[in-house]
Amino acid sequence: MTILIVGAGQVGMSVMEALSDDHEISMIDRNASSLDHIPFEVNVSAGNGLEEEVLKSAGIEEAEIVIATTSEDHTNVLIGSMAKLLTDCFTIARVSDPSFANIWDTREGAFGIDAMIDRSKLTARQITELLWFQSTRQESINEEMYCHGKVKMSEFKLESGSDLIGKKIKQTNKYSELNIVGIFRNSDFMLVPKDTSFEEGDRITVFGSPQKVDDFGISIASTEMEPVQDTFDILGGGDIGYQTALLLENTPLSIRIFEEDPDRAQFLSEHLSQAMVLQADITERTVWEEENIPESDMLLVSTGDDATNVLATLIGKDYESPRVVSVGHEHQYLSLFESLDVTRVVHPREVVASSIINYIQDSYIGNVTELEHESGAVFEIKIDAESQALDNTVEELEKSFDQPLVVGAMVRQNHSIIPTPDTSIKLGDQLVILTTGKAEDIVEKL
Amino acid sequence: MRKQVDILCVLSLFGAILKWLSVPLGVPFIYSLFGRENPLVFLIPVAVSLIVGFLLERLDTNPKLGLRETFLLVSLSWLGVTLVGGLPYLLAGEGTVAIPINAFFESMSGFTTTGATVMGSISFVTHSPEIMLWRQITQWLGGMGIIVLGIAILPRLSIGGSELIEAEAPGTQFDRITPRIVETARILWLLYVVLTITLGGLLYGSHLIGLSPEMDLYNAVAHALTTMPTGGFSPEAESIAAFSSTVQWIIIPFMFIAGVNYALTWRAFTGNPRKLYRDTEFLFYSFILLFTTAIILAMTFGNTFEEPQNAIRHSLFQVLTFVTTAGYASHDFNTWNSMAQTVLFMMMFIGGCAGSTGGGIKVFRWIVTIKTFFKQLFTTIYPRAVQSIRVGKNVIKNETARRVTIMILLYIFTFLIGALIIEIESYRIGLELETLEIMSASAACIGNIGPGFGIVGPMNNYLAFSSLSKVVMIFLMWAGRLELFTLFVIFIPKYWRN
Repeated sequence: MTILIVGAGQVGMSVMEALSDDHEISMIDRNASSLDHIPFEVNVSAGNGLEEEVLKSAGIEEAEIVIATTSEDHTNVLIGSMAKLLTDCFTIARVSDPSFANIWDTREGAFGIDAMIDRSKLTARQITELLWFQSTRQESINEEMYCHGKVKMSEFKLESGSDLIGKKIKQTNKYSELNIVGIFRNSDFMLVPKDTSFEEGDRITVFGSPQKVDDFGISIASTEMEPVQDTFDILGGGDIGYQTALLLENTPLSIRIFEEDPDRAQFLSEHLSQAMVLQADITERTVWEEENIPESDMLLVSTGDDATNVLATLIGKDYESPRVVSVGHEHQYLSLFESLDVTRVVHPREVVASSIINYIQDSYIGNVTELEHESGAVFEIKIDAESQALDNTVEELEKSFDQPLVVGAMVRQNHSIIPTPDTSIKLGDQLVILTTGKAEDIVEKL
Repeated sequence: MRKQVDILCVLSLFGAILKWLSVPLGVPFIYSLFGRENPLVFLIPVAVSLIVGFLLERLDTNPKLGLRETFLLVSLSWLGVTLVGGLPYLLAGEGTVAIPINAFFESMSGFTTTGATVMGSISFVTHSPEIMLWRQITQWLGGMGIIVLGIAILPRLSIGGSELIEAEAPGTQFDRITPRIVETARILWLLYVVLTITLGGLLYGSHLIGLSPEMDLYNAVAHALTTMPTGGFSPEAESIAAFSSTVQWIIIPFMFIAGVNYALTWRAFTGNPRKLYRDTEFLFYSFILLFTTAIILAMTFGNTFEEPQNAIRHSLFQVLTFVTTAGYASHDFNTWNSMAQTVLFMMMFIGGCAGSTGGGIKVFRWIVTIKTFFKQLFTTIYPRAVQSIRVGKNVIKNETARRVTIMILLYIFTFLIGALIIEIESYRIGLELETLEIMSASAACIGNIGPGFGIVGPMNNYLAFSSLSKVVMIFLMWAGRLELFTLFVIFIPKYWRN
């Protein structure tokens, strides 16, 4: 594939390095000197990526994918839109201000961007994943992402004491934004047994948006389990700290955010309903002692400044805080952070780069997951104009095959939706299908 | 650049409002053609409002209402309409309200939906049914004015944090202030009219099936006109106590609705009843009513009332009438014990929901104040904590919370100053009164409630006070209705300068 990357910063370089072996890559950067160390096989042009001339000379008309990853959000969004005007390509833009992503999330293809990579949200999601296993969420034993991370499939084991035991699938309407598609019981897999009651030890397979599936994990957790009142302190209420707190809003974690800027602290207190916001300088030892920060079960050091983060992490080490997750922004200090020997270092730029790389690699590989004991398979499929499922309802589609299959979830206009039997299938929908038969046969027919 | 308040613009817009006063004045005029009152009693005020209205309107052919002018327009409208609306009492020349200060008092009490009266004898012997009907109509008109004021004007002026209500108001699709007011007012007035007609129909219906012999057509209309605006005037000297328990039970839910934000009621009636139990103010309002009713019930059952049905009805009715500031009486609560009277007195400071026709401080301001109080306690323990106040889903900005608490302080302060002046004046004219009586008179005026305790009790009147006391009370009613700030700003010298 031909890929054009605008912006040769850390993200652009990481993406280029990961993809240059298999793809034909061009790069644009305003600063000619930053293009010096790029290998020969990559075409480089120096110039402003917002100028048509520069884009054309870098071969935008042949590009199949355009990645805008300069340091400025506005520039990235504009480059994406420009690219859409000049050629029919897949556009990816990186942003750090969540307001762009918020607009894009609710409107299909806003700004002409096909995929918007939001630095703070992605990083926050990664941080929460690092934290999960200490909270009361029912651990999923198996999980997969589909449709570029819009649909999640998880498998949960029902422990004794869960609210769900004894209920039937059709009684669980309170999970309307989820699809419970099947149960593994004693290594037998059953597809949508609407009249079967859940039993202890069942492993249930659930489809939905990642957030809803994670919430489901919390809600089915055994009530016999003593809820762990974990305390979690976020030091630095910038975008990453804020997004992390936002993702953990409805969890049993008791969260505090420390932010030095009074206006930002006010903003946080207005936008977070559960977290407690404190206005303080986290590099002061008195703050640590008076607010008992060392007693906290988990610490996230997430200011926008690496020097502050290193210092705060060192103070945390000094007080022997049990778990410290630090955010390191600049690539050059990454090894320094790692030498601090903290629980984890999260590097937002790396998170963004790997997300872009995954995007490109996923786009063209049909994602098929085999269930254990070869009892079935999960795969995703995009409905094009020739598909025989087009304009059918989900029920008609499910009945048109000899092999049992269930549409677990679908993505329409960038949103995951849970289909009902009479949802009709439209052009461009992405379906995630679970079958106990052979996936290839179904894919062929569709 | 405009240097001062555009007085011509204000007068012109006031003229436009005043000329419309001739329409409601026409109702008792037509009635008087077939009745006992001299038609001139109403014809002259009709002519005055038309002529003065049209003349004032000519002062500015293209009035442009700004923020500053709005304050003056609102304050002036209430005063001007009150003055013209008081003319019939003077012209009729019957009873105590024929004296100018008393006519002014009665009219202000009507248009501010207070319900305090200076009529020495409330009976058809002294006053014609036409005058008594006009008295009821003034409250109904006042209610219409309050709906526009509360939903469309005060939020724009950010009076005491009332900008919060705006999100609820219908017709928000309009950006410019004038069409928005027109659209919002039209919708809510329709609701107001429908509720009034429904109540009137129910009251008269109960008469027709024999459940309330005293509630004839005249009384049904008269009480429908004063319930929805939380007014409290009644052509009966004994207020609602003159009617059967059926009538009292019918009026109870309508008083309750009148105390709810009209925009919320409109949303609930137009297919979204769930809005109600998601609305913090509505829930808190309902909670206060039930909780206080239970307290009053416990205090009066077994001594004042022997029968449970009576105890429940009168407790609920009286709590409602004080909280919503309607000012009716289903029973002479002056005969209740002092514990119950003290609780009722405290209820005078609650007021209806914001955006209702009720007066007083308003429930949402108390919610914000209580939350501010707890926030203050919290930040005393955690000095570094930054906390935001939330009411339902809305975040209350610090500035808004500050305005709300200042509004309450100013309200209490004005109430106390009012009580002090009334006290001194009463002493001067040799009127010996108890503290609760004086306090309740001031609170009943500023809260637009009407009756208080003792001398100003539900079966009595405000006649005994001196003229200066009455002027103070008129001012309290006027200021209380306009949520203090709207009126007070025009008394600041800087308001009139550049």
